[in-house]
Amino acid sequence: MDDEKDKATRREFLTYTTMAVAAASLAGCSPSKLNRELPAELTPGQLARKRQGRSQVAIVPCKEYSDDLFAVWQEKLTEVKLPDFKNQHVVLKPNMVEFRENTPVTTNPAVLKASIELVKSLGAREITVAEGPGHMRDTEYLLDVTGLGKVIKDAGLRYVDLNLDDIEAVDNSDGLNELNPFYLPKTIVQADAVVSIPKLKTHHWVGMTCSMKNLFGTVPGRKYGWPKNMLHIKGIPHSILDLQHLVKPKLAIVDGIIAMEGDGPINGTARPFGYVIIGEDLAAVDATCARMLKLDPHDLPYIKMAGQVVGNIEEKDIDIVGPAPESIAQAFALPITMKDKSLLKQAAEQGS
Amino acid sequence: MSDIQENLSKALNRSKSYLLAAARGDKALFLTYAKEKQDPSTEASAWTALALSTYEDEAAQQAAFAIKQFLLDSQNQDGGWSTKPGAGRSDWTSAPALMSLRAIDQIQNKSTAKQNINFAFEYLLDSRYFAKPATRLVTLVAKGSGALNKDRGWPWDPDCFHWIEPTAYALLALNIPKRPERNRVAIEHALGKAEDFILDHACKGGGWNHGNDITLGAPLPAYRLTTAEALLALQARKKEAKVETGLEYLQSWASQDTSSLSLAMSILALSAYGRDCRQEVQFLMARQESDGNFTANITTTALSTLALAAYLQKRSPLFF
Repeated sequence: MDDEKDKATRREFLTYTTMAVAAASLAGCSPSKLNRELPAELTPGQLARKRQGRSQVAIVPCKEYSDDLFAVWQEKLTEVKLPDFKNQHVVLKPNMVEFRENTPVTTNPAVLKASIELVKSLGAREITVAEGPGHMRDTEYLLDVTGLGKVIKDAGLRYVDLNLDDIEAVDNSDGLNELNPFYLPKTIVQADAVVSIPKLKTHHWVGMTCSMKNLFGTVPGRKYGWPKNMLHIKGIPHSILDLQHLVKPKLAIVDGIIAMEGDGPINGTARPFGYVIIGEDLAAVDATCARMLKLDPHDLPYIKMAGQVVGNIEEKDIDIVGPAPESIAQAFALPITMKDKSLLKQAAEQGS
Repeated sequence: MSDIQENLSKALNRSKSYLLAAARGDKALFLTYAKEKQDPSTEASAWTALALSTYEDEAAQQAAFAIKQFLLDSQNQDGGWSTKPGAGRSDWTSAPALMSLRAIDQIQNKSTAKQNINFAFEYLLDSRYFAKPATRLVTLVAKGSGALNKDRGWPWDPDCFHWIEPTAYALLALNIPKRPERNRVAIEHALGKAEDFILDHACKGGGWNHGNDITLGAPLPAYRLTTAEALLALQARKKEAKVETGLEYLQSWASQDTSSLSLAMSILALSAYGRDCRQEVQFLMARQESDGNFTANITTTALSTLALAAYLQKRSPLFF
């Protein structure tokens, strides 16, 4: 009974999430752009971008954040295919959107530290940590209070504030969000590989934020602002999907040890979950994470379309290394938008 | 001269040397966001020009004038500026560019940029609206002026929502060195609306964040930096209760050494209202590196320079 009720309210929430995305597009646009939705039909060029072949996703149980997290991963990753970073310049992109005391808004420093060790073990010639925080211009403060700055300093790595980096216009003529050219930081454009290292969170606009949505932080604030509101106006799902092709991430390492539930991605609450999820196909990683939260990836519009233009989202096409998602799935509290539908309209009008 | 004054003077000399060395170009000088970058930054150039213009020596004045020339050369056809020349349509950096041009003209007692400045005023006034002029006319006829004149500020990028920081920068551009005589009715109207926009978005408990004081029914907390920026922009509304609670919120951070940027902006805002900021000054001075920078971000070093100069001299081009 509870399951049925839960399922119904989730579907209701997702319906309203879709409406909210459209409403967000409404508030700042001319009438011609009202109720913008993902296209019903995709171009051959867009469809051709989908990753071919099967995908592999590793679910690594990690009870807590510890200094030897990499040792835990190493033990579990022996059967997992990981990218060859030999002689490559690899950019690690954690989530450092904003800071809230005692709230898991950002990627945990222990996960960044272990990710650095993992990427080193895969042969990287040079590693840069880079992020363009979404809500705060004060990057120096964020690096300090999140603890990420200390990890970067201790590892002797370079940090690049992607919000203020040199920028380059890149072609997005077959993109979904109509921003063409699209401006990206040179650090991202010139990198051999980008690794997305998100915090697993519920999200009041798109249901869940994970490795694909995390790439919003590669977008330069100097061009698009703090927050990067233009990406909302042009469609959050559209922009998430375009960024997969513009940034071309090679690996995702999801911090799901302590995740966020409720009114994420900022105002939610901590949810101890106990997993790190790793894979080369970001669509497969995010679809698996959705299943671990008892969400159907087909109900999240951007993940559903990622199944057409990014990678695999169907269970039959994804090889799981580790516990089966359905055996460990937990229903997360979803954003308050599912409890009071009027809030979606209110929030859209406030520009959040 | 007291010890603190002497230390401030030395710090200001070091930061001047850093900013002069960071400027690039031949005749028209520009700044990047950081020394290792290549792209000109409109924002970093604007703040650095303003910082250098506060020094009396010839080298600093000449550099400020040469950066001003870069800003004049890189103004877009619509009267605004882009984050770097040629990087698409005009954006939020138009406000710091305009502010800098106006302030430097005043400091150097020259009006060499009058035409460019007037053109920039027009861009700034126009960029508050989501719709193009023709659409606005139709809206005006169909729905009346109320539909056009909701409380509003400025966006980061045209056609987007309005936020605290770009609105604050635009208020500085229109208030410094003083409110323009030209197009006075329209500018006064825009200023009033923008001030109301900021006041209406104050967070519960005082202060401001990026612009979402409440989202989905939940009140969100303020930040130190955005509170300081909002307060600096609201100097014409000193008697507002929300300004006072904002000042109290900002002062509650006094014992925290958070970042050069937030300290610099806090010093400027608190000084503008005659509030104590000795602790913030000490923290900021301790952050200066031997080459004069306060962090790798050149804009932050320019703002830190303006902040320490304001504290030392008890005046600033940013006070109005």
